[in-house]
Amino acid sequence: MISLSSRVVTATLDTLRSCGAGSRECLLYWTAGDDRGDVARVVHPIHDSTWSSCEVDGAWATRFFLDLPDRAERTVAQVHTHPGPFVEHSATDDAHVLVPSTGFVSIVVPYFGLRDDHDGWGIWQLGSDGSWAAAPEVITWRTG
Amino acid sequence: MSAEAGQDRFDIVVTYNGSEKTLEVNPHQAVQAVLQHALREFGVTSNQHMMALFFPDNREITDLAKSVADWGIVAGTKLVLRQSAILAG
Repeated sequence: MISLSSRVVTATLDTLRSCGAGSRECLLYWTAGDDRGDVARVVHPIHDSTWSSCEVDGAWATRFFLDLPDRAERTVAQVHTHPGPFVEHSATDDAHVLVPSTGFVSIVVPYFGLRDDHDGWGIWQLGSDGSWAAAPEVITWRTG
Repeated sequence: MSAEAGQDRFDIVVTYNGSEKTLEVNPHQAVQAVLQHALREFGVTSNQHMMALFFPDNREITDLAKSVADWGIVAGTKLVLRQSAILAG
């Protein structure tokens, strides 16, 4: 489960919008420091992006994984934008997620994150058989 | 395993998404075996062929047929387990 405050949602959308500028995809991670899945940080990696793709800088990813144990955090979700309404997981999304472990969550935000409503987000979770399935129930939306 | 090989064994640390595991290795084994051991330890069952080990300076261990010693891995070496390429589209 991931427990998400409205502040995290706001920070997430602010990052996606300022980075993508309505014309490029953006990607970020949520980390948590406890088993309840309270999101502790919105982490914006160094990445390249185009209208329809993102690639995270490998050196950044190595440093990020080296840093997480010192912070007693883990990555609980990847969040990235798509240009239009399509929030399915692409084949690239399936294969190249940061944490390919059972239970990891990947969220696809439509329209480059320009819309405030999170009802249209695609929320996917990796199963033990290696497939991704819609899993909106894994997120608890908190006010405040 | 021979007693001699057993005496060569030492510990390294592998980190993956906030967790660290200590793995016992020997200098003569192929790093492919170390990678497989790390994948098992962390329960990574998807896209295993896209996972790789990296040194902290981000050098990727690419030739998996080479040995632990060939790659300069010694007692206490820390390695990062992650995807070779992290993409979304």
